[in-house]
Amino acid sequence: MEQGAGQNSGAILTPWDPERSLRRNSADVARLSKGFLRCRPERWFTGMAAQWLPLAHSLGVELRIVEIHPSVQPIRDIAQSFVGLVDDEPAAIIMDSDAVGLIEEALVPGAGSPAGRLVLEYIARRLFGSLALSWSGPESSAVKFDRTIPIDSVKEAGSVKIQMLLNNAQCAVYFVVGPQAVQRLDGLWRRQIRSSRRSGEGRVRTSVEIGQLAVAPAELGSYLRSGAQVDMEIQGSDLVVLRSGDKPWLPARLCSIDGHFGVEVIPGVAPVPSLPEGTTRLAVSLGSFELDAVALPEFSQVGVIHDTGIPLTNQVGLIVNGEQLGSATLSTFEGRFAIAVN
Amino acid sequence: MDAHKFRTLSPRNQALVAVAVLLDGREAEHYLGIDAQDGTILSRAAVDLAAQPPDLRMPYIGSALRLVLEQVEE
Repeated sequence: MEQGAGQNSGAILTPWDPERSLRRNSADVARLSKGFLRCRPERWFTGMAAQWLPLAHSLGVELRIVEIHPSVQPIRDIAQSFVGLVDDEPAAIIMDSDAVGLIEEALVPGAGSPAGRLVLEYIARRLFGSLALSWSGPESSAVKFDRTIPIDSVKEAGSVKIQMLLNNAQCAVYFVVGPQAVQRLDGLWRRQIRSSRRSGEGRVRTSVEIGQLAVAPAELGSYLRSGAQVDMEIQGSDLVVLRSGDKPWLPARLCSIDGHFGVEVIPGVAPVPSLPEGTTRLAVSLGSFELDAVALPEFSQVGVIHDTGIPLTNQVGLIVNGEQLGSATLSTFEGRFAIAVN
Repeated sequence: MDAHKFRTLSPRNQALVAVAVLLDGREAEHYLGIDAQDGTILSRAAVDLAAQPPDLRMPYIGSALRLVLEQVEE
């Protein structure tokens, strides 16, 4: 079996199993992947560094923020936690064991536990305070520190991890927020992305393409004949191309979301493979979905995960000039994708 | 030295204000002021303490902190 043969050579193809092959994502992660999980919180807390660097300098502590990263993964290493309120919703600052050790060592070396605990609490208060003072988002926000609220009152819906180097040693502090704050940051980021980039109107049909074949028009019939097996000559993987209208748009990875195909936008540009002269493009597609044109800017962020609504299946459409002319079972053959025409 | 507002705080709050003023001086009032329960009294105590001349303030805070930490520990 080889590409171009379009013949049933009797090769043993293994039907592709998307349930087993694809990484799973939850609908919640997909929903937040366009806003909260893509947001850059540091852009809304301007001047926060200026509140910490002088303190670090006066104490002779070298402090450098390595990464600020929103997440919905539960936090595993919780050495100390401090609770506050953000717009009346419980939130927490959590320090991992490295952060606790490093802060105590830097600020109160050799001190006993009450002094160490008080210093950590003040640092947490200071962090809550500097979040309130440096917030530059469009709506005002009320932040309070409240040590009477138990940590289990915080309904963790997401967190912002602040990875830093303290005296050249790595540690992390997490700002854990509830569903109200997550929704607020999610909406804020999405509105900013929409307003900062141009978008069109109406609905845009987007197809999820596994690959394409260059077929001589005279051979098209043999490719579409029931029982034909075609080696697509591309490595079997979760990589797909999203096509908007007739053009390649974004590279993506497939995943599964509640029994549907999900697509995760990855860095790079969608490949535009050229076809040999005189051949027709036969696209192998998992299906298509519609997007609201105003949502295209937020959809095209790297890392966005979208539930396509296309049921998980190994059935693919064979598309020529935008028209589905046949269907096939997506399979693998010696590690490569192949199709068995239905 | 007028540290009345500081002295009337609980030992724990005295320790907290002492740490705050040692680290942040006058700025401590902003960070203590966000306390949901005791924001005003903590903030005012910090302002009073931070307003003292450094040559009086630092030794005073040092000894006060040692004393209240012992009480907190007990």
